[in-house]
Amino acid sequence: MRPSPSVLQTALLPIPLLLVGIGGRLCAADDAGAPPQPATAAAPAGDLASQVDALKKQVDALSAQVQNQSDQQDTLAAKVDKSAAERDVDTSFAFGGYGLVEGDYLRWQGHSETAQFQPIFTYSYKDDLLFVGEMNLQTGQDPELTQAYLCYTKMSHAVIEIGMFPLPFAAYSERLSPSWINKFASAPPPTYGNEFGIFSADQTDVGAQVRGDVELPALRANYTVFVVAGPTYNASDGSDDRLAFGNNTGPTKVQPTVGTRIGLMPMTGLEIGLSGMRGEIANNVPAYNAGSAGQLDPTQGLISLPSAPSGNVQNPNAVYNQTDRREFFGLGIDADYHVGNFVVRGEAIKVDLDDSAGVRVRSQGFYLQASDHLSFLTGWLGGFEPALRIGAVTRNVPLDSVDHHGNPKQIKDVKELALGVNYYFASNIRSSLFVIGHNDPELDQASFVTTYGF
Amino acid sequence: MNTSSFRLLIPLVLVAGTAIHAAAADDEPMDIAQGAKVFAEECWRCHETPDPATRDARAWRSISLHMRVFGGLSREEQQQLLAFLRSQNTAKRPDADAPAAKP
Repeated sequence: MRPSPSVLQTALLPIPLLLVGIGGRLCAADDAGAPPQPATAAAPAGDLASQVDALKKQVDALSAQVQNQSDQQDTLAAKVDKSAAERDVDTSFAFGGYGLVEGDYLRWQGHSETAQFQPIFTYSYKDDLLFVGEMNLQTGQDPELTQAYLCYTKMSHAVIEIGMFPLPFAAYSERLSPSWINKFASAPPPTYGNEFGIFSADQTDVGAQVRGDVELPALRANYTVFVVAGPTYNASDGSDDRLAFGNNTGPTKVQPTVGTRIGLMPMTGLEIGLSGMRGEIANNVPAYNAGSAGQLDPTQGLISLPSAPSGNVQNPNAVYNQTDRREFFGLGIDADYHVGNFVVRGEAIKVDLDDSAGVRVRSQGFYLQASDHLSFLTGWLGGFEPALRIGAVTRNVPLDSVDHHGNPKQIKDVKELALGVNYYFASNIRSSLFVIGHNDPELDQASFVTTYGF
Repeated sequence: MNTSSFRLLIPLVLVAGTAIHAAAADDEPMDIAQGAKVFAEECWRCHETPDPATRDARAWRSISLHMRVFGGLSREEQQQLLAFLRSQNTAKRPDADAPAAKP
């Protein structure tokens, strides 16, 4: 309820009338106290006319003030009503994400261009429930639902989350989008996003997790405990034994993957994370590829090849050997430190697994990245942010790959040195130029990315 | 109380009521201050700090919940962060600006 202009005007109308009345009475009092004057009609009439004019001007000024105050009050009341309405509704919705265009140049493979749109939808109910959905729309690829999960957020220090979410194993996969959130617009070596990375694909999987914060006397901490369906091998023909999460959609007898991450924040600007996970690999590789010729069993739906040139021909109706359990476990440590706009972050990951041939494979790697947004510089120079990254991946069993001539080659140990510079046209518009050199020149890359966050 | 006095009292009561309404709808100053601290210390752990004026209070509500999940914030910290974002949002949003006083 608020006063309308008409009410105000009606209510304040007596003020000028009172002023007129008071003015008239004062004039009358002055007249009464003064000695009698000769009756001159022209002089008092002129004085009275000027007083009336002055009073009229005062009345006009007061009316204008009343109108202004009324307008301002309406605006304030509208803001209050709108603000209250925005905060008191049970449901709220937000649409965000980013879009980008990227040009990549590889020394022997030429250039390629990509456009990507990554919308994120969040929908909440009474601060108690949150649904998050994220899609990836990218040139040359089918639209993909990359995340979809529901969170129960009513508890003070814990959140329960179910659905398809990025694995909270180390920090990069869950928190840092290479083209937008990260300070360096490409995926660091040990993560997904590289043909030599420890994980072959985005570490997103279906499951549940409990996460939250812990209040300690001298330390802030957060925790996550998760259970997900678990990984498969990247290629069902066994040519790529790297782990791929999110593809284990069929019924399997393998145990789910369980894991945790503990984040410690001993001081402002510093977070150190410790991660671990353990699980079994859903066997999407036919038994034919698992080892000896004795496993070539027609009852498993496998096609017997007389010469087995590649060993990769597979019956579409193949029944995989689900009793052939293959274990894996991973350990990770990540750190993130800020001083002003200077950011240092990195992580180290180690994964051990039994590959499709039954061989114990160990992959490990790290990256360390530093960047500094030079916002202390004045004018347009303040938009620059140089970035530097080093990283490496080593493995005891090489990965099969092909060179730029199409000939088979093997990737075993990879080291990189990357230099880049970002320029912020606004806090949500960034262009990045970077070059990455490797010990294998075929992996060298130069890229230009412009990203718009919304 | 005569009629004139009653007429004068009406706008005073209404103005006071509006002010009380506004005060009730506002977040507690202490929450806003704590929210500013959360905003300054937590957001940039992952990303550039956003401009609060780019979203309305309703959108910030679900976004702050989303960031609570990722950032390991408590429910209280999320509420404080939301209070800060709301306060900044109301102050900065172009459509929230009061019109200039008429001459």
